[in-house]
Amino acid sequence: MFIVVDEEDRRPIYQQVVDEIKSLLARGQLKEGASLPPVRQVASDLGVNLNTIATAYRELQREGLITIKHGAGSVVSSRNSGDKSEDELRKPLRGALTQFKLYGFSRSEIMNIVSEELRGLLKGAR
Amino acid sequence: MKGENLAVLISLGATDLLVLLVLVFMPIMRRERAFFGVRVSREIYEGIGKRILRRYWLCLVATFLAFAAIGFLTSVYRRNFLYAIVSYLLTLLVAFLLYASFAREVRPFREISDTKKFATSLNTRRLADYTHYALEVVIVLLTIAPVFVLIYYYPTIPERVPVHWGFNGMPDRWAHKSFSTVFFLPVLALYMQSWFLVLKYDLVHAKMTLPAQQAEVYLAAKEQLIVASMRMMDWIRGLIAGLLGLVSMFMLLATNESLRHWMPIANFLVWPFVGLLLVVSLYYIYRFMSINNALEAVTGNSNVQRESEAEKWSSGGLFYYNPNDPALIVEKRDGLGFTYNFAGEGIRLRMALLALVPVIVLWAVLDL
Repeated sequence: MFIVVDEEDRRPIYQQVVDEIKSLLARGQLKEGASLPPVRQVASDLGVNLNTIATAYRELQREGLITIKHGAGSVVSSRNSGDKSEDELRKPLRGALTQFKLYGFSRSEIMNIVSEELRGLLKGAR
Repeated sequence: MKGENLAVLISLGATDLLVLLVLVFMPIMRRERAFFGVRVSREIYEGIGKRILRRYWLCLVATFLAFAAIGFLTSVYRRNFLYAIVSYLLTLLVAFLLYASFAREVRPFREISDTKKFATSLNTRRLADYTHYALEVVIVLLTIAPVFVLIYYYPTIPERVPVHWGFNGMPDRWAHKSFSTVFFLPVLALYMQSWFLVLKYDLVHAKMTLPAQQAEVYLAAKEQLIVASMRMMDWIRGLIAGLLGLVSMFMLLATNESLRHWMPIANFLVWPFVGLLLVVSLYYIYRFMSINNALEAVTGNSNVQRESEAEKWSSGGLFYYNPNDPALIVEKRDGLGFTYNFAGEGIRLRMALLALVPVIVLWAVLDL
């Protein structure tokens, strides 16, 4: 199981780490109770600052996905993100769909893209 | 000069030559992937690189002739070891400086890596996963027991004790009894075992750089490297514990009437340990090379580094100093083995441990 970080991606590194772990959770590859490697290991393998990874872990904890125990490492506590309402979740989707429309994609093209992304996301999911 | 002294001079010279040979081939061990520790294009390597290399080799040969050979002859003529030893050390120092200065010359030809996506495995690496507790107990016993045995027998040890043995197990150098002559070997064993343990801990947590492309292949190879390193460390720790434990007992066996008949057996037992140490070291060097070669055959490169990190190596890839890198141990750029990040957290502790070497040597020499 890997997480990948792209130095040329416009998202900050900590956000990439958060997103990668979330997608592993969504696909069910990371299960409840699974432990995450220590901050130092992830940071040194990826060649980034310790604080970057610590921030990512804190963000995941804030969303209720992992529990950080000092000295004992971090454990996946839940595969479901916190208590966001459906409307809150829809907002970024609406934004992304608007972009596609503005760039001239047709309805069926957008539908294809959405189902393709969903397929990729749920690959291996249970 | 006696024949025996000449033999010592020649064997020291041979060791010097061997180190020099390593420096001769180090720049080209991984060809254009690490030419003087710098990744260059094939054109550079085969064009200007060849010329730089020839000049480097010429300088090394000249250094050897100017220092080592002249020092050796002066020693023989003047019947004094000192000339040879100083000249051998000078040879190595100058050779090292040559390597570093040629590496600086190659630096501008560095090829910029295009890898920007890196991966990390979510499996936690722990020392406990590579620890065999039975072996640890044996190592602790073999290291600690001689101290207690020697403390127990200390009053019975005579005033004049043997401190060096020939190949046949007969003492050939003597000294007066003191804490340093009796306890030097057990203290050395304790010190070495502490270092090995620290090294093993650090190696488990060595940085693993995995390019996102072919991350699985890289991970598998790097894990093999870690496993091989751990096994090598365990073999060496066990063998050193056995060997030093055994040799620590020599003084007691040689000076105690009731134990003397054990001496030939103890002396004979040294050789399997020495032989195994040699075999194990050679086998694992071969193992590390074959793991790297297999990875290189699949991916074209066995060691990928970030651009930001390539800048932080100095002296042609011998030293790594990168305050922005949280890793304490990293893979060496020229392929074989690992090295410390001299800006890493915890490096002071390691350097303090290293600084104990002169302390122990002084303790033995000054006979405190």
